[in-house]
Amino acid sequence: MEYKKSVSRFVGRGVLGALALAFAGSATAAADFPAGPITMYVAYAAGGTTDLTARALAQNTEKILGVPVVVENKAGGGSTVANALTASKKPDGYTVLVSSTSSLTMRPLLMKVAYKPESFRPLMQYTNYVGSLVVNTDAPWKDINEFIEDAKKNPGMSYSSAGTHTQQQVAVETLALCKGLQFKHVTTKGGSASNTMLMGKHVNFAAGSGSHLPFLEQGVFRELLIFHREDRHPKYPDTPVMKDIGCPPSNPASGLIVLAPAGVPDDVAEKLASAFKQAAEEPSFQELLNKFNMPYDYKSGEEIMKEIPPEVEWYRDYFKKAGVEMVQ
Amino acid sequence: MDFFSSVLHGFAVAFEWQNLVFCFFGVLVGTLIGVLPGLGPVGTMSILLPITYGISPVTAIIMLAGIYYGAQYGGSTTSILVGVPGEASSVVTALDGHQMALKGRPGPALGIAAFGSFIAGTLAIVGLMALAPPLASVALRFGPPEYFALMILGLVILTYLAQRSLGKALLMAAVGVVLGTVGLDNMTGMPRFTFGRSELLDGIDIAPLAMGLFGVSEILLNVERTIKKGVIIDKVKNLLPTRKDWVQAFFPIMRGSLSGFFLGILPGGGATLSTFVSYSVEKRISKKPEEFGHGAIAGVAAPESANNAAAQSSFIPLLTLGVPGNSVMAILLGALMIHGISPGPLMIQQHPDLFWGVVSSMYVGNVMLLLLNLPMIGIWIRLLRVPYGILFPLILFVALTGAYVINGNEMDLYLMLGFGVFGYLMRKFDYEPAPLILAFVLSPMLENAMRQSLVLSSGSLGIFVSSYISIGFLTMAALLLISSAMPALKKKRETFAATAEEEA
Repeated sequence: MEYKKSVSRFVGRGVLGALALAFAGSATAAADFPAGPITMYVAYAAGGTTDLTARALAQNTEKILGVPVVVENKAGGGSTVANALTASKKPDGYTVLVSSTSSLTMRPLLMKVAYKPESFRPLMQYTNYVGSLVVNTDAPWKDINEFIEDAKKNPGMSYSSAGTHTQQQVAVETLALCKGLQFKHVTTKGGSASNTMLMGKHVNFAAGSGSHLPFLEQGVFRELLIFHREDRHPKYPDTPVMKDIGCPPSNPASGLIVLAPAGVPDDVAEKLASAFKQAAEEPSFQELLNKFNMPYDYKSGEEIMKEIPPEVEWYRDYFKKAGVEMVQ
Repeated sequence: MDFFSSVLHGFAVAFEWQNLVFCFFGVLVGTLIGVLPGLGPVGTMSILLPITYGISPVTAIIMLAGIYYGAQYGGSTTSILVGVPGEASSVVTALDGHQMALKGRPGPALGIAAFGSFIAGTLAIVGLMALAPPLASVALRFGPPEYFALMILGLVILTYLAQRSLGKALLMAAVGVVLGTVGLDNMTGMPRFTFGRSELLDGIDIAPLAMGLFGVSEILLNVERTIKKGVIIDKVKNLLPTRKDWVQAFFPIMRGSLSGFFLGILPGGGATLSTFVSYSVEKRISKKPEEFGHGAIAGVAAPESANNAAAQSSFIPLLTLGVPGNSVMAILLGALMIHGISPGPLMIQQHPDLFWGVVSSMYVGNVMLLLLNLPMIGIWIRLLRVPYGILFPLILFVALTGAYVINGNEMDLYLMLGFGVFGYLMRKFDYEPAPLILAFVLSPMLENAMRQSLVLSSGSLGIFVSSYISIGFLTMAALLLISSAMPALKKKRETFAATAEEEA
């Protein structure tokens, strides 16, 4: 009995203490923030390019905020594991997440996940993935028009991609829908496996995901079409985009974004957002993105929020047309 | 630059002082994590990746590569002395290596493992230098049907690994295949067998599975046995193998080097797969296959040579094509890209320092490893000479930490412990864990290759016999299957005869 009493007293004290802390916290949230280390979950495996950009961002943010930003990798399930975990954390600004927009818009349509887009407060986007249609340098087609003509005559040309429903694969299918083409899709375990498949000429073309870019520079691959851009890419001005061939834009580009759990006090969120923005603008970070062939594409939290609902609708519509079973 | 001046240039790079220092650091760390079960090269390399930001790319890759092949040396020490594989690629070594140790010959077992590794490493480096570019293009010709055929061959080899009952081995292989299908279906992106748990979406990781089945179960078994006999061999004398050992081990080392070298080149292959293959080949062609599993020196020499050759040759697809064949190579790819180098077909021309420097450093590293692992074996053994009461919890602790740091996923801990108990029961009932692991590794690749092939052929099975490579593998598989069925029948007849006699 004595034991029970002391436990309840202990718990009672703990609750009081927590309440006191909470009050203190709300009164001076931004002024005192951050008072301790911040955990940054990364929805990708350690050592990959995405992880490396997140780590560099954390390093720069550390200097700005003056507290450690500890990176923890929680890869898996198309970013859904890390998202669910972050959504369950206390919205005090001490937990942030680096994930992708498609994990918020596309994944929840296909599988049951323990979060909604509203579970998060986006802080910023720092880059996006641009997909393209890639062929071997010695492929017979000189440009996209020759390719489309040939594809019309020979339905069932094959292509490899970094995975089913990845944004590049969806983009290829939007081209097929627009021009009335029919392709065979060979899914692989990721960008580099897809590159190998094309290099070995086991498929006719590939949905380029970014990891193919070094091979462009080395003259192994050629790009016939760039998907997720309105205007032509400044680095590749000769490669047409969807608009140039009279097609509606492909699917929205998925970006790498920094998120906090929803309910973070406004002033804390603003402090974090401006620190991350400053960290991303530093030359060392810009240089790193450049090395990985990732464009710097900043978007504020508000902009990201605004783009989410139409993106969800775009994918819902696409999956309906493609006959893919959805969970919601 | 012609070949010889390239090699000379490579050695000049490898002997720069900072490269020597980092090479030594790499192989030292590699040996250490190899000796300690649990923490593998992938985890270690990701942890050490940030310290490579500040050094030159050649030095960084030299160090990271050292960790990888160093772990292949160190892993065998634990396998032989404790019977718990220090690394996944030393699983097979534990079968005969530990038996040799129990029979009082731990020295020659360690010796032949180190010399075999050194010889294989040397041969693989020569192969790497001479054959890298042409071999890379052969590897490119492996498309989905060729992989399918290779995986079929791999599964057939499973039946060869069966030490005791073929039926039990096949049953365990079936369990492995099912476990391998957990996670997102690669073709449709739909979750399978995940029971609604998002942690299972990426499937079960090999590390918690292997550490549970081999490591945790071994500890549980040893806890039972401790009182009866010492399991850890701590008196090691006569590291040099005898003349007879050399005679028995020479051809296994050569064959192991060869099969390791070629399996290492294939994407998805690598050190672990090569050990299984070379072991089964040796068992198959041996005149005394009954010695395998009871301390056959060929059963140590072949897989240890194979994993080292494969560790080295798996650099070929990365350095010549920019294609990482396994997760270790994927981390190296990341490290190269940090330094603004994109591996690909033109990398050798564009960065000759890097290619020739790293390859030459491997030779230097192999010499360092031989010195580290033979004269200084005592230090590593001392790591293992801690009393059981401390050692077992320590191994368990390192294994748990190792399983956790890979993905930072709590689920992996429960999986590892669960598989530990499962593995313990398996051993109690005389089921072998090796077929389960190999089937687990092969099943996603097999499924993927099969479905990719059928997409390409619009459903026609003819695609599997449309190239010489796949026809070759399938024929080999068929022949092996027939020849393995025969001893099984023979054995069955013998058992029947024996029971009949008993009953009579």
